[in-house]
Parts: sequence; structure tokens; C-alpha cells
Amino acid sequence: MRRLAWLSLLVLVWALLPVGGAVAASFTVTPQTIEVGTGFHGARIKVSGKVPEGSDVYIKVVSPDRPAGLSKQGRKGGLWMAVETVTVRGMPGMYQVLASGAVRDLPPELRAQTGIDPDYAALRANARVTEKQEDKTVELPPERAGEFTAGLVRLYERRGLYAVRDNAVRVQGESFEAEVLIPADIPKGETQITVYAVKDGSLVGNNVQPLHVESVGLVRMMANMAQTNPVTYGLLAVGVALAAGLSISWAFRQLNRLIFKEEGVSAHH
Amino acid sequence: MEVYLPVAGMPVNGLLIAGLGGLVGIMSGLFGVGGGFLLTPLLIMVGIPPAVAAASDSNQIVAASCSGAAAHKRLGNVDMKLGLIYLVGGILGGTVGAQTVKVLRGVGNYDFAVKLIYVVVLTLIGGFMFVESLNALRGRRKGNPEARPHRFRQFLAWLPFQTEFRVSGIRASVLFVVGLGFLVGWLAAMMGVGGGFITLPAMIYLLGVPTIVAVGTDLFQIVFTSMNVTFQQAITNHTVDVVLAVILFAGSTIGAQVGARLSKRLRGEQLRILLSIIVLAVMVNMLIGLLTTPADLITFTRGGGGH
Repeated sequence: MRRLAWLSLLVLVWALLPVGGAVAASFTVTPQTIEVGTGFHGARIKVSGKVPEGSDVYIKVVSPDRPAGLSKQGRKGGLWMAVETVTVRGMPGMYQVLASGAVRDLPPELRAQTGIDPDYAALRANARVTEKQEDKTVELPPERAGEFTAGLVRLYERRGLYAVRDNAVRVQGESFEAEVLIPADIPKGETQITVYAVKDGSLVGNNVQPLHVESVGLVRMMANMAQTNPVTYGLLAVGVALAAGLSISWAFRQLNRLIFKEEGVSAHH
Repeated sequence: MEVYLPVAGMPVNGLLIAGLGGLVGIMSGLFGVGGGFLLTPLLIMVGIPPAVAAASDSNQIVAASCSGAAAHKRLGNVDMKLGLIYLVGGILGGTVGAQTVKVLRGVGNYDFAVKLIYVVVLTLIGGFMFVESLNALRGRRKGNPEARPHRFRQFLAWLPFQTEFRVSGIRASVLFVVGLGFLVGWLAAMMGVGGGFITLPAMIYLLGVPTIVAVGTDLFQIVFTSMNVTFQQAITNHTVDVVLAVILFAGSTIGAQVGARLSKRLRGEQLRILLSIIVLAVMVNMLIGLLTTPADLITFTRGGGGH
């Protein structure tokens, strides 16, 4: 019994070690933090570093899971409306793979080892799709869930959140460099960027770096308040509108008096 | 100029949004209508999730109408009794409306409902304006408007709780006033509008309120109904984007000044035809959205972002 426990501990330790025990890939991510502020409209992240010479380089970018509410549209009485509504959990909000060659050239056993999933098949298989039926939540069987996970992949691909890009990593000798395109609606939290070096069909190096995504300033304050303190936020929204409306109309009255030497036109009646 | 909207969770072109506000502001200056019923569809067309568009529009309406309402109050154009009784319905309707939005969003059909309501309302407004202005252009005058809704007026007089509204110089049923307020408040939450397109004709033609008092009382109720709708949307649906509302207001307030000056130089009937055509065009766009097969049958339930 004790021997079994030791054995399983050993297996666990082995499993937690970097894949293949190789660390012969080092890289940096610039910038390391994405700040979602008032002017944010996406970002370009530079990933560069060193791998053993002659390797193919694969970069995997995975953000935290983000539950997504999806509807299926159907025709009722000639009009298109939602006929089925589900929630998809367990799929990352962003998933991108970049490769120095073709991503699909990666052999199947290495796909499993690295989690590089060019068809999103494993990602979709991991997802849980649930539907509310009367008062309980029911998980959909794979044959019905597939339609929704495939749809979610399409939605994410259209927004640039999911992408598989061949020939997107430049390799020169030991050095490599790539640019990851981050769309504006990247999920907040810690995104993992993993680099894999593959040579002669086996993994010769891998390493991981975090990319922090956080909202800052006004965006952070407003988004947080709207969700966690809606009463204050609602009062603030009303107050801002009243203050803006009254002060602007006062300003226009003064301006009209100065420029046109007349009583201001009351704009809204 | 990209601006990230914190609640919508997406970047927008700030100049485009201010431009849309400006366009609707010019219209409100030109025609004396609020224009909320055009702003929400325009925002939906540029990709703002419908629920955020409607709620932020309500927020913008607070800013756009409060100074006008204050001016009318000073000039004595607000029938306070009528306005307050109307508001009982308006506040109730707006609160129920925000809950309706929540239920519909839960089943993924708010987008559908809002488009459907818009098609109906815009058809009525656009069609009515088009016919009216065409008649005016041909120089035809309608018969005495009081003679037309005869049956309905009898019905109104038959309703219980009749009371005197001195400022307006009318008698009307409290029940009808509250009911009308409720309908307008509900639509205010569903569509992100002030509802002047219902309040004004109803007060003028059905209740016989003098036009200037109807305008003043309408603005008075719009301020408070929209304040309530903004607050209710914020606490039930988390859909009010203050940044979006402020950009819209900045555009609309400049537009309204331009519109008010333009209106002194342009001919009314032709303008009204133009407005009715714009309204009908927006309606057709919404209708096409309901009738054509979507590009993808799977959509985000809440429209737009993944939250």
C-alpha cells in the first residue's frame, strides 16, 4: 500500500515536470501586461527568445475560461428568433496557435503532449454545454453540444480570439520572434503563453510565460462598479447625466448670448 | 478615435458615436422630436449590444431633456397634476420594463423583441408622418381633429376616476392617464426612448391638452421616467454605459443647436417627409434583420460581448 502511494507520488511529480523534462527554450513577452484603458482597441504582443538550432517553433496562447451564453436561431411564424439557449463552460476565451511552419504538421502524439489543437477538437470535447429545463440545469450530450461548441469557435474566430496561424514565427538560427495579435475583447486575468521547440519529431524544449490582462483607470472603475455596486453606479449615471445636461445648456446660453447677441435657442423644445 | 466602453466591454469609434448623437440631435432641433427612437436602432446597427444601446440611450435622454424640462417648468407649461399622475404609471412601467428586458435576455430573445417593437412603432410613426406631410404639401387640410376619435373619447369619458386638470383645462380619468404612463414607461425601458411620439399625440388628440402644455408636461415626465429607467437598468441588467451616454450626449447637444438654427431657414413639410423616409428606412433595416436567415445560426445570447 505504502509502495503504491510512493509510486503515485512519483508519477505525479513526473507529470508536473515540464514536458519531456526539456527547458531548452527561453523567451520574453513584451509587454508583459496588457492594460485595458479608455483608449484600448487591441494590442500586439512580441514574443521572442531562443530555441535549439534547427527547431520548429510553436507558440500557444491560452486565456482563462470564460462562460458564454449562446442561442440557436430558428424561424417562427416567418421571423428569426432564438429557439434554444445554452451556456458553454470550460472553453478559454482566447486560444491562438502560431507556428514557424504549418501548425497541422505537428504529429498527433505531440499534439496531445503540448495541447496544441489546430482543429479545436480537444477544446470542444472538454467543454460542458448546459441547458435550463424548467427548474434544473441539464448537460447536453456530445452530439447536441457539438453544434454549440462549433458555433462558439466560429464566433471567437470572427473576433480574432481564436486563431491558428501558419508561418507566423520567424526563426533565424537559435533566435525566434513572433507577434501575437490581441483583440479588444480579450478576457481579463492571466493568459499563458507557451513556446514549444520541436526537432526531428520530438519535443526538445518548452517554456511558459504569463501575460497579465487587467483593466485600468476609468474602465476598471466603471466596469467594476457597474457589476459589484449597481445601486451606486445607477445613481452616478443619473447624476452625471443631470449635471452634463444642465451645465451644457447653461454654457450654450452664455455662448449664444455672446456670439449671436440673443437669447439661446432652447435646443430641446 | 477609439474609445473603450467599460460596460459594453468593446472599443468603438468615438467620432462615429458622437456623429450618430449629432445626427439625432440635429433632427431633434429641426423637428422638435426627441429622436431616441432613432438612436437605439442606429447604435444597434454599428454593433452595440441592443440592451446596452437602449439603457445607455435612456441615460443620454436624462441629460438631453432635463434643461428643456426645467425651462418649461419656469414658463408654467407643465401641468404638475397631470405630470405626476402620468409618472405613477411611468415609474411603474419603467420598472416592469427593466424586468421584462431581464427575462427576455435570459432566453436570448431581447434582440428579437426589440427589433419587432421597433418595426411596429417605426412603421406607425413613419407612415403617419409621411401621410401627414404629403397631405400638407398638397395643401389639404384635415377636418377638425376633435371629431375623429369620437368613439374613443366617449370611452374615455365613461372610464371611472374622472378628475379635473386645471392647467390643461381638461377632465380625464386617472386610470387612463396612469395606464398611458405605464405603457410609455415600459416602452422607454424596452426601446431606450422618451416616448414623446406616444405621449404627445395622446395628450393633444385624445385628452385635448393644449400643445405647449403637452410638450412641457411630456418633457417633465421624460426626465423622471428616464432617470428611473436608467437606474432600473443599472441595477437589474448592468447595461448602462455612462461613457457611451456621455459621448452620445456630447454629439446630440451640438447637433440640437445646429438643428434649431437650421429649422429657421428650412421648410417644414419637406423636412418632415425627409424625417419620415429616414424613420421608414431604419424600420426596413430592422425588418430585414427579422426576415433574413442569419449568417450564423449560433449567436451570443446577450448580443455583442461574451459577458
